[in-house]
This record gives sequence, C-alpha cells and structure tokens, in this order.
Amino acid sequence: MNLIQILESWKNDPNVMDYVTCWQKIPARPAVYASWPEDMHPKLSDMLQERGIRLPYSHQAEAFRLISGGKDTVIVTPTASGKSLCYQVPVLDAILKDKDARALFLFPTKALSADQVTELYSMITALDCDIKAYTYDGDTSVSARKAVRSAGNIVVTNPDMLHSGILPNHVKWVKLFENLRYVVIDEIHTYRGIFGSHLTNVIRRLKRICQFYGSDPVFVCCSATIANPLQLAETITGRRMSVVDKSGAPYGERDMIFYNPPVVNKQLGIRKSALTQARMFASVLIANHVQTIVFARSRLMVEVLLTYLKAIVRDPLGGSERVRGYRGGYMPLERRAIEKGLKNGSVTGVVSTNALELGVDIGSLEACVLCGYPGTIASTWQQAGRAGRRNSSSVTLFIANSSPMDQFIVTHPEYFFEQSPEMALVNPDNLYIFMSHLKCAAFELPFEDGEEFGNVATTEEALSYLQEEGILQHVAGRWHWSSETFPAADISLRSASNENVIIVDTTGNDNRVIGEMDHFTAPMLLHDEAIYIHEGVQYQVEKLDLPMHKAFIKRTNVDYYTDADMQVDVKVMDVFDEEEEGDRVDMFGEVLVNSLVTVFKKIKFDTHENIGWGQIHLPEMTMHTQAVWYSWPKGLPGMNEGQIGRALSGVTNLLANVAPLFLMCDPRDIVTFYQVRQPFTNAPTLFLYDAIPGSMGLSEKMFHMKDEVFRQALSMLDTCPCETGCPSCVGPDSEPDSKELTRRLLLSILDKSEAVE
Amino acid sequence: MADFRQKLKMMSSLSADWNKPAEKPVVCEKTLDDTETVFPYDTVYGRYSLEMFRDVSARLFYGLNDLPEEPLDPERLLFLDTETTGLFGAAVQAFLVGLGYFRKDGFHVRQLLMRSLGAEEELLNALRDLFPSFDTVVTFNGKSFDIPLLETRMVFHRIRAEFPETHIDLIHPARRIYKLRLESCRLSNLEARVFGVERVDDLDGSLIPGRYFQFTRTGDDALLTDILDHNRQDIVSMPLLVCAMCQALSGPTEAQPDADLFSIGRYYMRQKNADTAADYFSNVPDGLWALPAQWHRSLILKKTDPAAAAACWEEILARTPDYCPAMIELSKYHEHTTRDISAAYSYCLQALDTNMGKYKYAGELSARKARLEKKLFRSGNAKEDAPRK
Repeated sequence: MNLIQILESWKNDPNVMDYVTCWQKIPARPAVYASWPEDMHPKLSDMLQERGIRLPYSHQAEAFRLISGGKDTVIVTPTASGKSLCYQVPVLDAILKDKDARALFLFPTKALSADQVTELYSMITALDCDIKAYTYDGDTSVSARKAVRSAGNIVVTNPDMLHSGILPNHVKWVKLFENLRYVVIDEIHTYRGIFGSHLTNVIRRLKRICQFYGSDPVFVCCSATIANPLQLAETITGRRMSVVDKSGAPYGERDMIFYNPPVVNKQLGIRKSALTQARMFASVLIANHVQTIVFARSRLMVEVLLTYLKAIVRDPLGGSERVRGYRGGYMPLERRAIEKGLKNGSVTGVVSTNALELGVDIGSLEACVLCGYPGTIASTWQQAGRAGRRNSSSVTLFIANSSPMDQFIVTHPEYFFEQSPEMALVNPDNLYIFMSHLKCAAFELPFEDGEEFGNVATTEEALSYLQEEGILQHVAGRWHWSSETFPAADISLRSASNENVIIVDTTGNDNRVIGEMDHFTAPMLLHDEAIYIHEGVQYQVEKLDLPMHKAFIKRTNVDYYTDADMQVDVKVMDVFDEEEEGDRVDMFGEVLVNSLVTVFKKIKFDTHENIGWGQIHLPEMTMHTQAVWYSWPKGLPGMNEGQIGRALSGVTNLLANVAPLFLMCDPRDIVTFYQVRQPFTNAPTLFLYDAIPGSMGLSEKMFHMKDEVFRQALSMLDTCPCETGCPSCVGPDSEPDSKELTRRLLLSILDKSEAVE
Repeated sequence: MADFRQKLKMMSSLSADWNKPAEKPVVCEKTLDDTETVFPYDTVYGRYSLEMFRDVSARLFYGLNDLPEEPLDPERLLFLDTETTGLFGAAVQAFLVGLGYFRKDGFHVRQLLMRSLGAEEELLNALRDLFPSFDTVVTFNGKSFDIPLLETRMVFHRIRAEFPETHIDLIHPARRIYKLRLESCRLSNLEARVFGVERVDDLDGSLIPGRYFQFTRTGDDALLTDILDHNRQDIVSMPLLVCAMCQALSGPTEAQPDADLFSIGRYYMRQKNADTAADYFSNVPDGLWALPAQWHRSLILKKTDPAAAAACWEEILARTPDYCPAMIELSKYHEHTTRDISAAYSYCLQALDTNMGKYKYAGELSARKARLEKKLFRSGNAKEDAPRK
C-alpha cells in the first residue's frame, strides 16, 4: 500500500475512525516566484543557478531587497521554505562587493552552526572567491581562533560563545566589530523565557561594542511561526523591524488527523497509552515503506518506540538499520548517516525527540506521527513540517495521551486550528538577568555618566549599587571595572541564577559531568536516593552536595521511579496591582517562595504502585519571583473548611494544566499552589507563580487574563470522562466529592448569579 | 513598588557568591604618578653588576631572539614591564608601567602609575611620547603579554603609537638556557639561582590586582609600596639577566653547570651554529648530561667527520651498552660509509635485541635487517670468502 491507500483503509475502518476527533485536509499550494534584484552580484546568480535555484521564491526576493537596503528584518516562514537563503544571499552579495565586510551568525546550538558553515562553505567554493566563513565555539582549536578573529568574513557562533568568548575579549576582535555589517539571529523563536531574556541582554552588549567601534550592523532574524515574531525580534534586537511573512515556497497536500485512544477505565478516566497506539500506526506505515518520523516527548519514550519499531524491520541477519533513533546530542557523523539514509531510501523510519524541531535539514518524509502533544501549537506545526515538504502529499497523525493538556487539544481541535500559535515571552529586565549582564557590559566598556543599558532607567542606580559592592568605581564621569573577577564566566545563559547543580556520573573510574540543573529544582529531582533518568539511562543519586553545587550519581537498573513531595510556602512582599472581581480579589506582585522537600515515594513503572518511601534532609530553598493570587475574603459560602480545601485543590490542579496553554509556556515554568487560610490575605487563596528567579512575566500575563483561564478549566473538567474526579482533572488526591466541589467553585468564579447556594 | 535598592540588596542576600560589600570608596583624582630612580653603574646584584652591560656583545644580544647583529647602543634600549588589573578580558588595564634605560649616570627606572582607574589615557599618551627615543624594547614575556596588552589599550583609547621597531623578549632564551636546571624560569627564581640573590618580602604576583583595587578605593599609598618595589626589581633584573645570558653564551667555562653547557649547546644547534654547539657539548663533563651531550655532538660531527662521529657512538656504547640509537647510527655508518655490511648487520642485530629496538624502532630496524640480509646474501654470492666479523 502507498500512503494514499493506507489513509483510505483507515477511513473505512471504524476501529480507527471511532477515535478520530478531527481529520482536516490542508490543500496544496503552488510556488510563487520572483526575480533577483538587478544589482545582485552576477557571480551569485550564476552560483545559485548551478545549484538549481533559477528564481527565488517571493519571500527570498523580498528579504534580499529589505536586507540589502539596510532594513532590520525578521523573516517568518514555515519549515523548509528556504529561510536560510533569505540572509545568506544578501550577506554574500555584500561581501562580494566589499571584501572587508563582516557578518555574525548566531544559532542556538553547535550542530546548527556546523550545518550552516558546511552550507556556506559549499556556496563559497562554488563562487570561487576568497570569502572566509568559520564556526567559533567551544570546539574551535586555539590555533584556529586567531584566524577566525582576524580573517573571518562570516563568523558563525552561538549566544553562549558570544557572551563569554567574544564580547569580553572584543579588543581581540577589532576587525570584526569595525566592519560588522550584518548580525543574523536564526531560530529566534527558541529564545523565549530565560534564554531569550539573556540573549536580549547579550545583544544590548553587542550593540554597545559595535557603537564603540563605529559600526551599525543590520539585524536579520528568522523565526518559525509563533504569535509574536515581530515583537520578539524587536525586543531582542531593540530595533524597529520589517517583516517578511508571506512564503512563496510550495507545499503539497497534507492530512492532519487527531486521534484519541479508547478509554479503558471509565472511572479513573484512563485511556490506552499513546505509545502503543503510536507503535500500531507507525508499524503500518513503516511496514509499507512509507518514510515516517515519530516524535516522542521524552528520551525514554524514544528508546521504547525504537525497540518496538526496529523489531518490525529486522532482517534475517538481525540488521534493523531501516529504523533509526535521533536524539539531541547525536554526533554530526551519525546525523549525516541518518540524513543520507533518508535521501537514498535505506532508512524508512526515524524516532526522534524534539531535537529535530530546530532547522536541521534531515530531508523529506511522508508521514509524521506525534506521540503526545508537543506542548505548543508552534512546535506541533514545526514537527508536522518535517513530513511532506515540497510536492508530495503527506500525513500528520497526533495521538493524544491521557494528560489534561493532550485531552484538551484532542477534544478541542478548533482551539488548535483557530488559535494563533504561542507567544514567546522574554523579560530582559528580570533583575537577576539584567544585573548579570550589566556587570558584563561594565567589564567590556566603562559606562559613561548618563548612559543607559538597554534603555533601563535605573541603570545609574544599579551602577552605583555595584560600586558599593566593590565591583565598579566611579571616576571622572565613568564607571570603571575594579574587580579581579571575569563576570561572564559565572553566568550561564540557560538559567536565571548562576548557581546550577552539576550532575556527576561516578559509575566509571573517571567522574564525568553529564548535565546540570538549576538550584531550585535540584532538591526535587536530585535528592539522595532519587532515581534520575538521563538519555534513557537510570541513575541513582548517591549524594546531593548543595553547598558544592554538585550531585553525584551512579548507573542503576530498577523497576521504579521516585517522586518527591515538596512543601511550599509563599510570602507576599509587594503588591503591584489588585482588582476586585465580585467576591474574589485578584492580586499581582512580588513574593518569596520557600520550598522544602521532606519525603519521596518510590513508584513502580507500569502499575504506578507506591512501593516505598524515604526521607529527605535538605535545607529550605528560597526564590524571589512574581506571582498572581486569587483570594475569597468572605470565604466560600456553603463549604466547610475541608470542602474548600478540596475545591481549591481541584482548581489548582486544573489551572496548572490549563494555564500553560494560555500563557504559552512550558508547564514547568509555572507553579500553582493553594492555602485554605493564607496569612497575608487571611482568606482561602490560590497562587500561581513564575518558577524562575526574578520571573519571566507569566504571572503578570495571567493577572490580565482574568476569567478566560477559569472558563477553560471548567471546560477541561467537564470534558474529562471520569465520574467523580481523577488524577487528570482534579489531581491525584481526590475524594468522591472533589469533582463536584471543583465545579461549584469554578461556576461561582465564572457566573456570579449562579453562585454557590 | 519596593525600592529598587532594597530589591538589589535582597537579591544579593539570596545569592551565595555575591561579593561582600567593600569599604566606602574614596574617589581619586584623575592623575598619573611619574617617579624615577637612578641605579649607578656600580650597583652589584649577586654575581652581576650593571657595569657589565657595557661589555654585552651586540651579536649575542640580538641573537637572544635569533635576530641578525646590529649596532647596540644601550641608551636606545627600553626595558619595560607592566603590572595589570587581571590576566585576560577587555577590562584588564596596565595600571603600572615600569621602564628602564641606560644614561651617562647609570640605569634609570621610571614608573608610570595610574592613581585612579580613569588615568589610563594619560599613561598611554606618556608612553606614546616616550617610544620614539628608543629602537628596541626589552621585556620578560612581553611578546605574549605586556606589548599586546598595551597595543589593545591604545586601540581602546584610539591612540596611535609607534612602538620601538625591535623587541627582545628575554623569556625564550632564558627558558632555553636554564629550563633544564631550574624547575621554574620566573624572574625571581632566575635571580635566586643565576644571580645568587633571593628576593626578600617579594609580593606574590597574584595578589597585585586585589591590592591595587584596594588602593583605588582607599587611596592608601602604603598598599602600593610592595607593588612598586616588585616592579622596580623586575626592571633592574632584566639588564642583569642579559649580562648573565650573554656571558654564558660567550664560550664554555668550567664554572658553568653541566645542564647549562648542554642547554647552550642545544641553543646554538637551534641557531644552526654547529661549531659553537659542538664546543659546548664537548665541554660537558662526565655525569648526567654527558651522554646526551656526546650524542648531540655525534649528530653534528656526522655531517663533517663521520669517523669522529662513529668514535663518539662507540664511546657511548662503551659507557651505555644498550643505547639503541647509537647502534642504529653505527649500523648506518658501516653500511654507507665503511661499506662493512657484516658489521652493519651485527649492530642492527644488537639494536633489535634492546628494549627500545623491540618497541620504539622495531619497524625501522626490521626493514634495515631485511635489506642488510639481502646485501649480505648478494655479496656472499659474489665473493664467498669475504672477511666476516
């Protein structure tokens, strides 16, 4: 069977169609071509022609016109629409016309940088001219660095290296900064939250340095489809930008199928697992030689699916190379082998985590199976974009698991298709992040009196604070660095505070660092005796040494995982805004969150039985962040204290699941929490706080969202197939009246006239 | 909203590795200190005196950095050493630049010191004005540290300066000459072990940035005394080190330590001065360095006098019977020079029997053995009764 026949067979199979909640056809679209501008360097059009690019798509021509005209530009077009060419061509054109011109390309990962340089290199070779393009990252040898610094026309690097390697040593990069004409920031949608807030500050520093050397580069950003690409790009670059968002690239017809596995336990609302369903569908596709990519949400799931699918294709000699796994952290050589296999047809199936979401070009596939909702609309479209690239028809099959978020999406397909994709939020003025980069900036160039960093009005106050701390000295109108430290070394762009816990594997003879985790999460996941899973391998934590910021782990093989209980307390420090909504008071402000983990449970795989527990002896953690809280000063009429607790518990759990959909964030970026009697409000209170020191602005956004989130929480509660409340809706510790109490509270929030009683 | 400053305070209290608050800052004026000390020519420092600099040979002096000889006018040499606020990164400044030069009345040490972090431009301008009076700058590790730093700081302040055309960096010849004998070639250690003078109460270099920052905050001149002394000593030591090295290079003497003789032999070999090198090697007395010296000498002789070289190798083997490289050389010598194939073969077999021959040179030796066997077989056929050893 080919793909079309398979789709027909599914359509005629009630065992499939009974559980399909949505089957949408997205029609094909032809290419829209334009022509290259007349003043483009002739060598360049010859080279493109030789590579089979006779005419540009309309968006590529438009991007060229804007970028060459000196306009800061953001390009937003779908996966595989030829986005890189939009900036490669104008940059190469500029260098061909002025061999001193320089450009800086930023990619979020080293793998993407390497891909980019390979591509640039083949173009430059075809151009037969003396343009130098280099990667500059942690892997660049010391001897090569000198050449990159003095001769690289195009320097391809990542934000971390720009932050800790290039900017603090800008005196060695004079040639680059004096002649910098273009700064390209690709995959800008990945810079949300902490990473984006850091990058914004790194760009503020870059612009300061450029100004010092007298250059004023054009900024070019590329983004996947998100709700606010322009706003994000303008925040990060601090510039007004032009948008190119009408793609001229063609794409084939695509079927989007949403599938909700059958319920197996109505009382508990448990469905067949998405994993077994994904295995079933992918097996059919792969057995029929339909090139298929399966996305699973965790590395562990990738391993499991891989084992199943490899079994299908195993040949008599035991070879199963037709199905390959693809995880983040794969070496370039392995990746190339997979890409080549897809191109020549020797690979039929790929199982991947979201590593492939980024623009690594792996070739075109016909089918995409999403095992579980990728978490955001934007990621879903990106992953779906891996299937069906130019001219052939393709299918994307989303299989929901029983988590509330998956259930919400699979039962509300209109939300998915009608809602614009997520917003990427950054908060560059997060005090922790801002102060970190203010130090770096002061190290790089003394601040002058009256100078503002990133237009932040409190710059001067912050500088004088750093003087009191002995880090700066104000002399004759300038703030001079006066410390022996190298500030960039202590600041990681991937976390808000600089106190990450390093994870050390002690299994072998040599201790190996395999990862890091932020200070606040470590007690939850890396406490002594915790089972920690990394790349599908189980480890047991031998010792968490918080003062040394280290966790020592050892490989193990057990049939359970661990889950720690965290006690949270929130202290209100400041109220920024408050509003009365009937009997409810909504507040938004600053809080100190104290968290203490005390015990952990051992939970058996598959059955989820509790098979033991242990105590944790760790100090209390304190985090300074922002929160929104809802309180009922008159209490909740008609409920006793126990009932209030259960109602709040239910709403808290629903909120934790619904809020990320509206805040467009990772579920781990927020924490919800309730107290029946809260000391500050002296009333039943429900909190939602940013799980990141200094906050990412999520709770503030929540504050302005008002009843919308509660309406969706109610809808999620009502869609849940359980009878009296289950772990998916009201949470794990439900009582027979939990669902009803939760519904009553939500109704009272939404409709004052229908209030309880 | 909470006071911004309160927030910053709270933030730092939550963070473990935030710096402790410092003393109340004392804002200094934007000034430069410029002091000069004159050391008369009869200043003696251990085995060396400044006077000896008059006798330094121009050929040896420029040879220290492999440069061709040019006229040497001590008054046109600028000795330079900086003290800095750190080791790397854009914020590092040279807050103290020590300069030394010979004049009629002796050796002048001039120290330019920034009394505040804002005085850098003034200091660099002073340097720019000073440079044209000199042809050559002499430093200790200045090629990789002091001079690039000053150059980038000049770029920073957009100052165009003509640095002296020639740069002699003493660290490289010092390492070549003394490294084998001394575990460290830091200037203070060279003073102790070469001049024979230990520094008293010398300031640990890693403490300098901290001291200086403390000075800029407190204005307490006492904090500077040790830094200025340390820098002044570094400057004075440089011409003395030149004297020491040029003396050591001017011909082997019995007073020189074995390791130095051997090292200088290699120093001259690197400069392709085979005769002088052989001279040093042949003066290495019996002991630890005798064998390596003999070996290096043999490699020099190999090109000019193969028989003498062969004598060296035999002597080496007489003293160190299992020294494989000498057997290989003798095997080659007999194969190609004396054409005594059986002797060559016998050395080859001996070499194969040593540990080095079994592992390090195994490939090379078995190829040689096979070739020699072929030659032996052929010559054996040609003249059956050829003499055998």
